[in-house]
Amino acid sequence: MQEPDPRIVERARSGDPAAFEELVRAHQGDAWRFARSLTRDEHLADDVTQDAFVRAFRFLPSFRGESRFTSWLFAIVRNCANDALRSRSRSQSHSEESEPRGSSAPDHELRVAIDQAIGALAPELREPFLLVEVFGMPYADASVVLRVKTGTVKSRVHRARQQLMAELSDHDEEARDEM
Amino acid sequence: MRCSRVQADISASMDGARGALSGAALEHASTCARCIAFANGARALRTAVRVQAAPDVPDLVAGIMARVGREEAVVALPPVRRRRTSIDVRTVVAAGVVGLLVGAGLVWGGLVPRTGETASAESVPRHIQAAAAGVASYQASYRVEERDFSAASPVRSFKVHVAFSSAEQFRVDVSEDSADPVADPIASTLIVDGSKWSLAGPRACIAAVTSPCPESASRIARVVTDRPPFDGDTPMPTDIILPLSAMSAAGTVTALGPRTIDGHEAVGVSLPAGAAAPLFAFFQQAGSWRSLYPGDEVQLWLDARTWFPLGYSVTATAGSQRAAWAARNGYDGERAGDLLYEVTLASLQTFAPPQGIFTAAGNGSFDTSSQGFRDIPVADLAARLGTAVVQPSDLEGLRPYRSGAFEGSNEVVVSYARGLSWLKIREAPSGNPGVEPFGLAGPVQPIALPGGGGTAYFAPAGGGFASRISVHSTNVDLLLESTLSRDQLMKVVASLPIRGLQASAAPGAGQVSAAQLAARAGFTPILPPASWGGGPAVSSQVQTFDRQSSVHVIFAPTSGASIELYESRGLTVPPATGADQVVVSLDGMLARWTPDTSTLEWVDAGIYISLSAPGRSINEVAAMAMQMGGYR
Repeated sequence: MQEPDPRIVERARSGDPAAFEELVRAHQGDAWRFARSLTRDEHLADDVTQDAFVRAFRFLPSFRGESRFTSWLFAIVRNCANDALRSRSRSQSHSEESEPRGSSAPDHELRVAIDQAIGALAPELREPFLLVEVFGMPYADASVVLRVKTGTVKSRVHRARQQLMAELSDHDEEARDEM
Repeated sequence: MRCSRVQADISASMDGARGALSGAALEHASTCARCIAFANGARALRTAVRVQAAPDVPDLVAGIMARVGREEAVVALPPVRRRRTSIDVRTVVAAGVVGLLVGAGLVWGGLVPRTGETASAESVPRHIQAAAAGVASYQASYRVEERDFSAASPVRSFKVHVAFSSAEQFRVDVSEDSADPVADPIASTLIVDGSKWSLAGPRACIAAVTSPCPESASRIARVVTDRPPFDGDTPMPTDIILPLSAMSAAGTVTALGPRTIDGHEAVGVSLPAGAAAPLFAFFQQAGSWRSLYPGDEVQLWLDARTWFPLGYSVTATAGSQRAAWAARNGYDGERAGDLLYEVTLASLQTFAPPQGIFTAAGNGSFDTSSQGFRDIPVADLAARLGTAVVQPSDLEGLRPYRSGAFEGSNEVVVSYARGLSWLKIREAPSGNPGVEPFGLAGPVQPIALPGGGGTAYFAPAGGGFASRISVHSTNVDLLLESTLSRDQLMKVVASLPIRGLQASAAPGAGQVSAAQLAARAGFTPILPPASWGGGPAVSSQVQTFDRQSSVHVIFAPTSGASIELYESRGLTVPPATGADQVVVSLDGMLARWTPDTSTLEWVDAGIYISLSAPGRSINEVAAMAMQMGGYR
């Protein structure tokens, strides 16, 4: 994930809508993918991403650059996703996970298996794994997003890896058996 | 060295942690089969999760920036300019949260005309419709000033607070500023929460019909449960958020040109009060309010970026009909150009309101009634319908919302929503004698569905309905109702997996004379004279159900919503259906008034008559009733 030019962030902070739009264009994809990973629902991810950027816009003046912009943004996405999931569980409707878009890809089966395995992780393992392994965030940045110590991120990513390797190894064996 | 420690270090090393692998750990890892397997597996996992096909990311930039634009408009509201000391305009800026909510006194005196540009009247409704899907939540406060309610109350002022959370959670609190300690000021609360709504406040006093009428005679305390999604009977304040219904009812609006209101780019439109009724009805659900002549002019000013109303006013128009109306209704002192209503935005935010405020009143002392609708998942509706539920594949961005059916009916309802935009599909087996047929009344246009999809029938918004399309197929009849644009609704209909058949008699096409109606209905209907002010009849139908015939006529007045007249043989008015209905005297003859739908019902010469004129006052509808031919 590429950190935006600090000058763009500064212009956006001072209320320049064009600069903020530039930030949206550059980061809406990652924000949506993170939201999708957290919510397991593409429609909900749309809402979460929109909410997160609106919230980011609102709080941008209070962003002092003490952390990376992307960490700060991902922390907002995570908060919005948690809010959305809580709200959805209250309404008790449409709780089923949505099918990933573009499901005609040749590696669809593998993608689904990985997606399901990541989804099966406990949230405290899934979130650091996504940030570090999928989005390539350093431990220090992930610790900002998750509000835990760097060492905690490190140990949780490792445990997530162990669980996923075991899970996907089972999936490979099942796939071989079916051939 | 233990493998678990080495594997943790391998993990950290992969993630870029400096010095994660010590010399001893490297030595162990290079010879330990388990650790080598872990390292290989971890690398394979990384490749798999990073190289796998990325999901298609939607382009959300436009939607985000539209919402940000609205935020920015709120944030950018300038410091409050108090109009007078009695106006309580709040300014709330939470510490550390810049622009959380800023109140603004948007005064008409502050309008600064801008020259050289002309707002497009045609584009305004389109912009409002496009903005609807993006409004997920909303809270605003308005100041309302009303003139000429009575000689004793020449000016009344109110605070109105509106809250909304998608798709069907609304709350409206109205409180009157009253300096008179003896008076009974209006204070009402309307809450809509999905399948339930409640209203508490003073009952309307219909002084002109049943004078004298004590102002504090009684109160409304009503709860309605089991309501279907997006029913036209529930008073929902959608228009104050985005004036969708008012624009649809007006058909065409007159552009007033762009202006700047306290730093906001504003677009103004002029429309008749009859069409703008939803802009007033939302705060007039309880208590007594002055009437407006349908032709009075409403000037509505909308934020050019967000399309939220910044304020609106009503002024009296000129003309002999207006003067006659004023004399009949006790407003004979009013002159053309007099200000009758002024509504100004005091504060606005698009944060999600706390969920707790949408809890509809409990049963307790409230009069509770059920509309009989049960929420049922779509997957379970097929059993009720007897066949799979027909659903569109193109939802134009809307998402599944509520679905279900009425008790004892095999008609099912499936709805979709996003923000303030919604689509409702009623579906029933074809030719089902037990349910209302989906023939549309009023001006209906046959439309050819794209791709050889057959024929459907379109009715524009009006009469309390959003735009509707009726589709008849071999197995099922569908009625789609939606706030989407006509083009969007057409795309939805085109994506239905059915072919629309031509109706044997096109809905709404049967305009017949009074004599023809009498011959077909078996009784002579009581019809108004051509000059009655309710406009010409645009549709006349005779319907027969269970050997009972009824006449249904739609009139299209020059302004405002269409007027519906229903008649059937009968000696009594059907039982009351709501606590807010009142019995009134029409020049000695008893009638029943239903404020929600502006419906007057009475019996004359063995004929039950129901006259509905949405948005009109009791005095106006009573005046129409008195002009009807059979009235004595």
